[in-house]
Amino acid sequence: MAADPDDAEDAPPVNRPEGGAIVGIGSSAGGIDALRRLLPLLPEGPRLSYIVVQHLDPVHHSILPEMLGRTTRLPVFTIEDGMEVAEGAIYVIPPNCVLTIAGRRLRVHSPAPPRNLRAPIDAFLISLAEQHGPHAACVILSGTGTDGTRGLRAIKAHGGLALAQAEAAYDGMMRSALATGLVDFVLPLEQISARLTMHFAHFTGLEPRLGADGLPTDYLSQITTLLRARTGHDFKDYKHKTMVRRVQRRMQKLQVQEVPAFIEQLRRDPRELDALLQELLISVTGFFRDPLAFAVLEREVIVRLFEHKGPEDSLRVWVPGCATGEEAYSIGMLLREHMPKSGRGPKLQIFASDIDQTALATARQGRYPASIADDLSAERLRSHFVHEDGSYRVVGDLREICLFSAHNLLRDAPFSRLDLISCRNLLIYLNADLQNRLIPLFHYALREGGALFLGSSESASRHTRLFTPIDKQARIFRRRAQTERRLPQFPLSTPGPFPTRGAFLPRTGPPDLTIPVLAERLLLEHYAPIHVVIAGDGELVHASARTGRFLELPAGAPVHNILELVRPGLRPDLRAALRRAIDTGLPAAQTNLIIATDTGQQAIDLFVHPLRHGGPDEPLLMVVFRELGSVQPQGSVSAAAGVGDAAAAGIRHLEAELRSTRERLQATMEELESSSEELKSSNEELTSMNEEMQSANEELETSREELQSINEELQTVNSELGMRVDELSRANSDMANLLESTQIATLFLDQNLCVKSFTPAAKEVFHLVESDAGRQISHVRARFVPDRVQEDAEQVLRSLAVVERQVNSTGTDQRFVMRVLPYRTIDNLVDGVVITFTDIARISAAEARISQLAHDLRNRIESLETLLDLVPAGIFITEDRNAEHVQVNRRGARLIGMAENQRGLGPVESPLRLRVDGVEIPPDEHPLRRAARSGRQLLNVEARTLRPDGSDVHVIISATPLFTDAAEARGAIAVVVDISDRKQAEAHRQMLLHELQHRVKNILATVGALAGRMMRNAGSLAEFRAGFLPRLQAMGRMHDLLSQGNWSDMGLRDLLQASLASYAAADGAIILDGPEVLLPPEVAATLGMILHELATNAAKYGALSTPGGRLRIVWSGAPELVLEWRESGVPAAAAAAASRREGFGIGFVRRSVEYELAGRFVQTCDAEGMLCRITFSLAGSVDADAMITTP
Amino acid sequence: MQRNDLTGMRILVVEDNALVADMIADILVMAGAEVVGPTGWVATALELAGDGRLHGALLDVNLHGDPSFPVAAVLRQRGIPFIFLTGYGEPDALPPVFRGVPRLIKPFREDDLAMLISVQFRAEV
Repeated sequence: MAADPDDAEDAPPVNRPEGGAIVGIGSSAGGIDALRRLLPLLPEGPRLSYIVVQHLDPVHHSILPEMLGRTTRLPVFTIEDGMEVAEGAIYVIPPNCVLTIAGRRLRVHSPAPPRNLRAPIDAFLISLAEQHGPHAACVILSGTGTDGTRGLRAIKAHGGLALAQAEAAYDGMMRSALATGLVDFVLPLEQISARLTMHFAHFTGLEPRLGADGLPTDYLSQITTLLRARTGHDFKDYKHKTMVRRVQRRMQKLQVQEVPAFIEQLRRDPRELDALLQELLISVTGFFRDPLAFAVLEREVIVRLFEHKGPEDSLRVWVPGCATGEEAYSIGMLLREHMPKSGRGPKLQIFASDIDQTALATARQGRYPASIADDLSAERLRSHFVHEDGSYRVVGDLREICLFSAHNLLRDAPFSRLDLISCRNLLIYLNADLQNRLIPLFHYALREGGALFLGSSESASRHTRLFTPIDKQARIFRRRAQTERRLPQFPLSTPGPFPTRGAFLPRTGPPDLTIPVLAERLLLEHYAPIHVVIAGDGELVHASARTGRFLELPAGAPVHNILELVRPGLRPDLRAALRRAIDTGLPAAQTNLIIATDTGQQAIDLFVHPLRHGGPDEPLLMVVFRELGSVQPQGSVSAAAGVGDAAAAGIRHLEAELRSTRERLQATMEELESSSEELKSSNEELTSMNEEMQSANEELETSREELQSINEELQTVNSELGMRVDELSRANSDMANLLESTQIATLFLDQNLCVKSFTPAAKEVFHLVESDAGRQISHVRARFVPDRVQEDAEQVLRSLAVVERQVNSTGTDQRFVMRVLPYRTIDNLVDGVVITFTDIARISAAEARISQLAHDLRNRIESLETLLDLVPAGIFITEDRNAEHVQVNRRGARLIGMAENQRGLGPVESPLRLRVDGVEIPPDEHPLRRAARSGRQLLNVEARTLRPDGSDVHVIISATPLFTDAAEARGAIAVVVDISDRKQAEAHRQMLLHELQHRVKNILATVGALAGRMMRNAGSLAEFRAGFLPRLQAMGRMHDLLSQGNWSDMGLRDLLQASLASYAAADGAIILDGPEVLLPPEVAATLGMILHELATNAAKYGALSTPGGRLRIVWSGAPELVLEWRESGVPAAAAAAASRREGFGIGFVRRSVEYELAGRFVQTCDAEGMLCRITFSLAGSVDADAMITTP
Repeated sequence: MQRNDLTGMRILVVEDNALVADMIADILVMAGAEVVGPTGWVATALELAGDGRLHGALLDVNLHGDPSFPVAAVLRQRGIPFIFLTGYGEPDALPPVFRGVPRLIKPFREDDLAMLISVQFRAEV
């Protein structure tokens, strides 16, 4: 069962197993090594048994037992289901199972659950703790994860011993265990065995002595007093057995045998009190602990909480004694799960309180070990937790609705208007009286119809007027509404002068005005015997009318005790009857009593009836006074017996004597009672004095403890100061070393400019010796100029600004920067100045060098940029292997059609596009990229660049890679040369060549035709030669002439002069007269041959053949050229001969003019000589008719 | 000579050099052909090429600096065979449409001229 162990102690003990204690040893990663070191140290012999739970591979057969068996002399067994644990033996868990223990019998459950849910150490330790309680121990060895932590909690909660391995190879399990704060000892492996032996030896020695009542009550109250003084928590009302057990456990751990010694230790060491408090606050808790009860809670309570609740309402839950928060979060989960999905649910508030601040801190953090997966469904884990670093953290939404606060249920005012109080396994720690007072407190705190959820061994069934059970088994109760809400007296733990139980009696309700009731009342008031209802101790609870005849208020403060109220004569009888009735539980009677009343004597019967209403703790009794007959006046008895005889006289005498005796007895009794009263009151006084002294004593104790704690504080402060001093001296030596190593001359001056201290390097700049400390700085001679230290230091002290100045050493050629700055203490107070001297000779040399280099670099860059601008080639540079970023010079930019406004290099905005043999190549194949990628040179690649505007340029590209120092390609440079001009020139030359060939062939054709014609006409070869060769030569000359003029237009005058130049003639024999006319080369060539023919003719027969001959050539200009060739001075014979010779020469001329020039040729002869007129158009368009000639 | 008999053929001669033109005309006449032209001018040649009774034509490519291609175009349109006379050795010098036209490279032999004419033009007689 899941009940608290302390509860189990009160109940008849569950079959506690016989035999020695059992030690559970849990280990995981690195555990086998630890076991091999631990086991040899375990002592031989009986008493202790060891169960080893090691994480094992579930699939493989384990050789662990054999291995361990070799290390120890104790017998080692592999566990089988049902095996009995013998003393002095070691048992090892088999693979793939969960191990539990029942009595001393081991149970093996296999197969084990999936790996992520497996926690075999926890499983075993929990069963061990439940079965063996204080007779169990656990040892957590090396391992990762959190397995073992829950088991350790259980062991501790049941009073066992918890040990953990120090310096474990894997300390995850150990840390997780330590985080609970419950581990008794963290020990090296070597000491674990000894500690186990010692613990259980001590335990067995102690047990019989401490027995059932081993701890005297006054010791216990001393302890609670100490605890209250130290922690403010009063455990006076805690259940006696619980206290005893926990104190015992603490004593065990400290190995203290005697209670006084323990109390002494508590007094001496307040931390021990804290530890005891922690021990007292241990509680076993878990998520959904006792799942059946939670299921009922969910079904019967949680679901209905949301009825009639709107968004503006709030749903309030109180979890007193929440410990590490599991119970509060469990209820929070239920509430979240049943919260209306519409988002119109009430505001959720869970007040979780505890007095244990450590536990509260854990609860607030909301982080739990992975092993909680055993308690929670996967669904709940997923929706309420976040898995983090091997542990689970409560999600924000759930965390927000839980408010954790430090609150003492017994001392602080309760929460109110609650819908649910979940107070599980808290009441069991409290004694019956306190329990009985807490239930009304819960009643007060709940709203009408609110529910109370108690632990499995707690109950509110004694308070049927306050609570009715909803489910008895699950301990869920509903608040009853009838009774008046009254705040119980507070704080609960300080008892008032009257017990407050009267408050819980049923109220006398409003009179029910039905006739039978009225009749009954009347009957009761007037005809029923006089009666009162009292409690067991005599306190008056209820009284009927007309009690005054028997009851009377005594002098002094009003009392309610019937034994004091009842008339004196009745007291002994009443006391006797009461005693009898309480003892037997049956009605008791005292009959025929004569009592004295105000009016006379009265005989009555006295009955005492136990009322069934109260329980055994709270008996109620009814006292009934039945009057017999009527009141007899004083003395009437003697009158009634007025028979005058001796016997009667004797009787009278005896009666008188009896009366007087009775009166004396009465007086004696009264005296006795009053002295008893006095004794009581002095006893009371003594008690209260004792109380005062006790409290004075406590105060003294408290102040002593305070002194002690102050002393400790002082010691702490002292040791801290010692540490500070150490730190300071270390800092000092650090500083000295720093100053020494920096070589910066430093001087510290105080407010009065006296030298406080200086570094060794300062001796180079001042004439200083060690003994100069304390001298004025003005008395120290400097070794540098200008020496203005005094003035600068004064200025710094005035302005608090830094002064910086360059100074030159007088002895050497060193230069320093002197910096004077204020000396600030840590509190930022100025307490002098610091002067530093930094040697800058080398720095300034380096600066000059750098500046020189920078200048060079600038010049080189300038040159390079100029070069890049001037060089008639595009240059592309990339500095990365993939040629992502390319820089280009101005010419290159132009080649790819970019604007060229930069100087030097600029980034390429659009990629270079290249075509080779008319096909565009991909960018990766560009020579620049290939060179950068491959690290190889590419030379003279011919290509065409494609510009964005569609034009292209014929280029030749060479690319060379650039290399890093490690000879890896880091980029490339490409040179792109525009060869369009060269290509054009080449094409032009080709064209000229064609043209030349054409011309030559044409000429050859002409020559051939000429030769053919002349051969047909010539009579002989000589004649042919005479006619052919000059014409051939003339053609050659004409050709020369046109070639000289580069086959351009030729001036007519030039042509005439050249054609006639070879004919030597007297000055003035040839006259050229006409405007400057330009002839196309073809026309000039034809005309040249015509002029040759005419000149040859003239030289043979005409004007140029005789000395007196004149040739006059006259022409008019464009568009129609008219050229007249007039010969004069030619003898008539010659002229006649010339006209007779009109054969080939003139025929050729005519044919040429008409056919080739599309002109007209007219030839006449007169006495002076020959006249020729050549007319043709220089314009392109000529009359078509004029050109048609007949052959 | 029998083979190169051009009797009855009317052949247009376009050649800007008078000597060459006359020589061609002489050859043709001697072979029995009737010569149309000769002319050295594009405009004239165009007119003559329009004449309905032509069996063939000899075209100098360059006429006073102007190409004779317009004349060739007219001839081709009319389905009259023709031969280019040219000093240019390479066919590249001709426009692509006329690359397949037979050419007689200057200077040429009279026999070659006559034979080429008879081969090229006879079928159309």
